[in-house]
Amino acid sequence: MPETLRLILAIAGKDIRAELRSRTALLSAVVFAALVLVVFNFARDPTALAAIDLAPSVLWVTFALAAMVALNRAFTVEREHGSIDGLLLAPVPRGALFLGKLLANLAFVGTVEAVTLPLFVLFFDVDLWRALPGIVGVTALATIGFVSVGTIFSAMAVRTRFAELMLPVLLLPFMVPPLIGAVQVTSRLLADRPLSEMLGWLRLLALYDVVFVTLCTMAFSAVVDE
Amino acid sequence: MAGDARAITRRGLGISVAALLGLAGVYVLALAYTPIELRQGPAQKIFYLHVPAAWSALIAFSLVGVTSALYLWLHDPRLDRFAAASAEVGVAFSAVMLTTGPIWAKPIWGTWWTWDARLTLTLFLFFLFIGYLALRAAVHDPEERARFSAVVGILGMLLVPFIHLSVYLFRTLHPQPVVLKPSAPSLPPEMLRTLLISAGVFTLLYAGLVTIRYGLAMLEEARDEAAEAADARA
Amino acid sequence: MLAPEPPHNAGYLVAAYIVAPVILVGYLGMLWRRVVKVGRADGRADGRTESS
Repeated sequence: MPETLRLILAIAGKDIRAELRSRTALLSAVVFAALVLVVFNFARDPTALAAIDLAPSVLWVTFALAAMVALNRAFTVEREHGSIDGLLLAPVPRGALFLGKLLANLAFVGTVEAVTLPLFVLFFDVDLWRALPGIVGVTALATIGFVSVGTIFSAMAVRTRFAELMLPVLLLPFMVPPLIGAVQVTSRLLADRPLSEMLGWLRLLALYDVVFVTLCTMAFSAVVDE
Repeated sequence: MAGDARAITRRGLGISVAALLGLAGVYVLALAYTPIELRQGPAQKIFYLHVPAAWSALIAFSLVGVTSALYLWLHDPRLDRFAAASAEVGVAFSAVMLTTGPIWAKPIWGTWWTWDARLTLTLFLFFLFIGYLALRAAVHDPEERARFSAVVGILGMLLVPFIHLSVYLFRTLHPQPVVLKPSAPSLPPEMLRTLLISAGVFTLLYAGLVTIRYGLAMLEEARDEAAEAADARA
Repeated sequence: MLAPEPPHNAGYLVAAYIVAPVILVGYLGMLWRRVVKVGRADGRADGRTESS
């Protein structure tokens, strides 16, 4: 078991180091997220709706779109460098390979989210800080959900002709339950609601993560092996 | 093999035509022999098409999921062929559901779209079907296409309960489930009878259309193989 | 209390009862056209005449 864990961390580390060297996925996703926030600001009528009411939706749409940009870039870079072929030739268990890639993608998307959040607070003048631990928690839960499905779909999409279009078309329906849950919990956190009001949604998010991380780990071999 | 395929498509056509005749019968039943609902008026009768279409779409989708899982286990190309057929037919039934739904919703609830459980779920099924078919169109190698589609099929099948749960947590405005209550159906017997007969007809139509589509897939595969063989000889 | 009359919305009923079979029969027609097209191509390739 520890051997597999080390393997997973090694695979994740390799991807993360590669990305840190080129930084293309991270930068494009962060710039994209900032631009989306700016557009949202100009698209809303400040007199009609208070920022705090709109905040959860704006935040999560931004996170979702930025995650897709990051996922797309991550696999495209890998395809250009052909690094996955070397790994496939080695007797690496495919589940471990998936979990390594998942961890690396979580690191990318998590970083984008971490940078986006202060920008969001700045642009929308929303007081997030007292709810911050809860927001970090729900962000982690939701992100694990859609990045796991996103990782396996980008592995497939990268092998098709219209990869940039195929990933959103496949992934968006799968992003909806984590998104709904995240928005519901975030809005209750910002309104200082008691935990009992969020439990149903939190359970949904946790169950989604368990089911889909497990399933994608098992299905990864069907995608990368002939 | 092409001969068998042609026989299959002809059988499918026969079943579909029979189902369409059955549908005509359902029309007569629904329009002439089923009472008009007092609060909702004649438009309520859209129910006898809308609900069975939703069931057919759900059957189509579940079978895509099941055959996808079986394919990854058994690697039988017939399972993949069936999954593709069921997905395409599912799109047709989802389209019926998504058009009759708003046409029913407008007179009853005053709005074209409601984010209730059934409509929302079918919208998602529609998008999942489309994504599934788009992926199949984008992958050329038949074996890779079968594998990838199967993964999407399984993941999609597992997404459905989560969509349902999300919508349920939202507490929707769809009318209370009138048919499937455990104690007794609240529908008057003539309405229930018409609904069940219509559901049977729609299921038969599903079977007929899938059969044709399956046979068509066999014919197309045979044609592609023949074309490749001809190229190899040339 | 006098029994109220049901609302007059038969127009929607007609619309739905037309749209549904148009989609279904249309799909059936599209499928069958593809079957016939593949059949014709097949017959040409084999050099045999098709009798259906």
